[in-house]
Amino acid sequence: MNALLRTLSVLSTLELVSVLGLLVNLVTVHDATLTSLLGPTHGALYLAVAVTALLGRGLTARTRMGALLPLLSGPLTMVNVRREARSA
Amino acid sequence: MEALLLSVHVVAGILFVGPVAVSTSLFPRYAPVTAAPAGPPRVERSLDTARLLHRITRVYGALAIVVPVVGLVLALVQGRTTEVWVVVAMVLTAVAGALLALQITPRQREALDTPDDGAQLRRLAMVVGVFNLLWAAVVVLMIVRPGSSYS
Repeated sequence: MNALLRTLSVLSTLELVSVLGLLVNLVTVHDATLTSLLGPTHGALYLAVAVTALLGRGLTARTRMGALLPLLSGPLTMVNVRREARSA
Repeated sequence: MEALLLSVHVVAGILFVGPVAVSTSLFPRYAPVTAAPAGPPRVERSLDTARLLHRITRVYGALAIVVPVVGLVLALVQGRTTEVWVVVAMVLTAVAGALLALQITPRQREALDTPDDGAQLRRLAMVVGVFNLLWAAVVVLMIVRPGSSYS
């Protein structure tokens, strides 16, 4: 696994954690402070995953497109990165 | 707290993004090529200079991550993360940072390792132009702050 795939893997995992955190907060305590902290953090992570997949060199179209889908880009990219690492 | 964050944000922007703008712009002029163009060269190409410029791009580019991170914290502290100009600036910054880390730096590496007739340097120069336009647009957004009610 090269540096690009490792970075994508870490970022997409963090993105999934942040979106799960937001959803859990939504259905349980729904704390406004937590939302206002996690929301922008998740947005930044989503953005980081999306531009990394779009501009990284030598990625498949499937990985690039998957990283653009809101909510799903975290888990999709985690799966796609494993696929790329296997085929490389 | 806000004054400290804003100072760090601006100083880091000047000290870390500035050198990267210069080093990435100058790199294609100094990087080695296999075929010399006709006529006397404008500047002497030098592998050592190109290596130094590549090093500045890498090191200062990595340090420049401080700018968006502190900027995001500042926006959180000030409660401005939902303002349009902040969101647009974040998107532009993300694209600029990704261009620097994923296109410019590896293309510089390739130009140093396997010089060609200058074609890859011209492509690199174009990507650098886009990168510099992007961060200039972000700076303008930071000053004009379109769509915000305060001055």
